[in-house]
Amino acid sequence: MDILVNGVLLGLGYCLIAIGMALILGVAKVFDLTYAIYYTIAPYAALALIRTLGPITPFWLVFIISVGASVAFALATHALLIIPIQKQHLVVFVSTIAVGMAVQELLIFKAGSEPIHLPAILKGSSNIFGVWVANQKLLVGGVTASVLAMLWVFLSKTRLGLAIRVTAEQPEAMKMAGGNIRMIFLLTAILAAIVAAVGGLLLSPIYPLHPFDWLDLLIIAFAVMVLGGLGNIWACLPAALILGISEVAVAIYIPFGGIIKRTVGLIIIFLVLVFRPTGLFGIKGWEEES
Amino acid sequence: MTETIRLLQVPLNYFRKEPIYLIIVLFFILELIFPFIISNYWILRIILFANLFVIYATSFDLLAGYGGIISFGHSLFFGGAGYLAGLLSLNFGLPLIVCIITGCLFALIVGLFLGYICLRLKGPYLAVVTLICPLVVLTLLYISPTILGGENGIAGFAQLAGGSLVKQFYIVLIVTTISLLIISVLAKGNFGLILKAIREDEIGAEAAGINTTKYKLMAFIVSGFFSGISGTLYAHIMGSIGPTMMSLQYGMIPVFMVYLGGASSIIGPFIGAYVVTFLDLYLLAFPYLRIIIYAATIIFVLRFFPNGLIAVPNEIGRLKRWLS
Repeated sequence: MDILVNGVLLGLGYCLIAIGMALILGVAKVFDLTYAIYYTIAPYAALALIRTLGPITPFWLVFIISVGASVAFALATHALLIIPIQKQHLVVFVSTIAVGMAVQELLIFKAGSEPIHLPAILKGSSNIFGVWVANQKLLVGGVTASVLAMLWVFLSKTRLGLAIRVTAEQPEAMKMAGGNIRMIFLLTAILAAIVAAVGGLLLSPIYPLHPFDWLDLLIIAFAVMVLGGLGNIWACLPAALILGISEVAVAIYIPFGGIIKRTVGLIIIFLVLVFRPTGLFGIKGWEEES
Repeated sequence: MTETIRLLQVPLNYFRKEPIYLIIVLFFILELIFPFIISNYWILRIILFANLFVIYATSFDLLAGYGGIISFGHSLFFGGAGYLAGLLSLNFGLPLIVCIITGCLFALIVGLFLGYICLRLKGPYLAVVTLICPLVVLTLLYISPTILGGENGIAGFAQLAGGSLVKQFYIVLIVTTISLLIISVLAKGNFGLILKAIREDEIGAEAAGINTTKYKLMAFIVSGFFSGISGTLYAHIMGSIGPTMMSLQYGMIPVFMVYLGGASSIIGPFIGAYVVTFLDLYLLAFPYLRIIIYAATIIFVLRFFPNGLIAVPNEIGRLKRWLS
């Protein structure tokens, strides 16, 4: 029970990290590795705001401004860097890694290389099926569920969502129908940045955030996406749960568990991919059409 | 007389067709005199490392640029070979040449293994699997501090040529030139052509009667072997190895070099290796700005020249046929 509750909550956190990246990869078909930077920027912005404005600032204001900061960064990266060189996947990959390195150094330069602690939004802990869990973790779980639900409603019920899905599947058809693909890509980037920033703000009180963490986050997001299968953003949820539960189980039962828990998750992904080369729920032929 | 001129023209024509060989020979001759004209110890050392990374980057280019097999686990070859060579040298006191050759063969076997796993995988899936392998090995390093050195790595084994910089420089130069020649013969010949065919259309290549499995495995093996050469030499020049050699950072170095210089050309990674090494090591004088300048250069070049530095003359419209 202990493992299940903690694992599910951890998995929901991972899902929150991965879903935005899956969105960008699914729609714009680019490897936007600055995605982890959208996640990182929001907590740093929030911390800076709290420091300058004083601790009495209403948290929703801090929340909105820091999400806004990360959206602005996402828009700038996509409009200035990614869209012009979108056709060459690996060039996008390499240059976004370079952006990540630059931001990491700037953060170290400005805020020091210590991990930062944001104050938790919900204090205390509660009892779930006989396991004591911090309220903040429950909040993460709830927010992930509602983000997934909202994304599902947005993508499947609204006209804009329809446009995004069309662009993901047939960009040429979208162009012919008179849609502005560039705007759709930017919109996707905004959505992804919002999800990432919310994730960053909610998760960093639990797991202290470090400027170097973005590579780790990228590995998590990438691993979750690939385990679920590319081209299918809803597959992130089961994949993230598998990863979360296995990590918690390993950390509890195996000696050295704390060090090797991430690795065991990676080995699971490795084995899944070796035996099922398109992930668990992957859409076959996705990488050829992109 | 005319006969002699005609005989002389044969290699010249060959060079004109494939200027890469001429460039390699010129590079070799030019760098032969470097130890005499460059008195700065530090700059000579940077050039030495640049030469090492040239092997590393071109071997990655053979796999990624020509074969289209984007592996982020290249540090597995580099670090694995380095670790094996270091361990053999430290624990058994074997002669250096034995350690280096064993390390390279080990990298070759690792390449075979990784290649076998990756045969069915494509694109991002392949990238993730190759990314996972060095991370798993990295964890193994962390949890076995007694044998593999843990977080501190291992230090204090024999250095190449007793630590004399000029001798090391010449050894590395010779090895680099030979490796470059072999890689360019492979890449410009049939092997490179077949790899390109597989990259563009694997089913088509298979339909044309090419044994794609064999060539993909061969690409992994050759690439692993040459990365192993650079890894073992790196370990024996530093005289120490640490887990960073296996980390994502070292796996990304060849990716940066190849795409900064321009993929699927031997000269591109060559340029890229020099630029990246100089940016990385020369800027050590500015500790805070180093990575920012480094990253900004990469972003700037790739934003305006997505095909890499090699395409700069192409895009300006000069020296078009001469390079590449």
